[in-house]
Amino acid sequence: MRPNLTKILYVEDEPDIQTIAELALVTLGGFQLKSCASGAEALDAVVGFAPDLILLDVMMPGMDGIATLGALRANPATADIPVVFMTARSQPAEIARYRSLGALDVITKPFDPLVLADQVRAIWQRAHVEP
Amino acid sequence: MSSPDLERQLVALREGYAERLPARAEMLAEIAAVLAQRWDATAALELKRHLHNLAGSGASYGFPDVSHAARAAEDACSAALAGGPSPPLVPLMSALEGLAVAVAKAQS
Repeated sequence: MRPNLTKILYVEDEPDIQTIAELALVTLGGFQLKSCASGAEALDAVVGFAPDLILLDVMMPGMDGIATLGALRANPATADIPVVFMTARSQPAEIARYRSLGALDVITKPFDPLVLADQVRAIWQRAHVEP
Repeated sequence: MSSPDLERQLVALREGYAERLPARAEMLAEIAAVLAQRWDATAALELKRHLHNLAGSGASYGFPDVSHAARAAEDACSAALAGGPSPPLVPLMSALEGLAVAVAKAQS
């Protein structure tokens, strides 16, 4: 049985992008969302919030998305939470690299706020296809 | 949420973003002016980060030209950063001029 996608932890340092994504994911998508502005903030919040999925910006000052993913994977409490990278850099080689690091998928920025929630649901459904 | 409510929220966000664009463009121009006088990799990295954020947000707010121009300037900034201690800056300055045009267009 496919688990429900309800709670999303969203990690993005750029306030303008965070604002439009929140509209897309909460108002349009109906998700329960917690936003964080840095990888460190996300690591502090993730256990308490217990998200079904993490949307993680790649390029952030300080701890970037790749380092944040590494820290999540190194903690048994968060190691299995699916992570989707959000990046403005989405060449095939980069996407392949992100997947090899353990990302479930990649969403390209800038995104269309009217379809972002559907994109996230589609990724979730593809990852939970029953055999 | 009803469609008119959503439309109103999107329009308000778009207008707010557009209103902030000139200040952001001015800040980029100030950093570019510093770089034109003397190359500074730290300032260039800051410029690149701002350009990256603009590139990643513009089209989401309905301004794809801003995203495209910011992406071109970000790429030019990356090339300058890889170009040694005194890189040629003409491509970067040209790309920033293109971004200024896109920002002005977003105001109209």
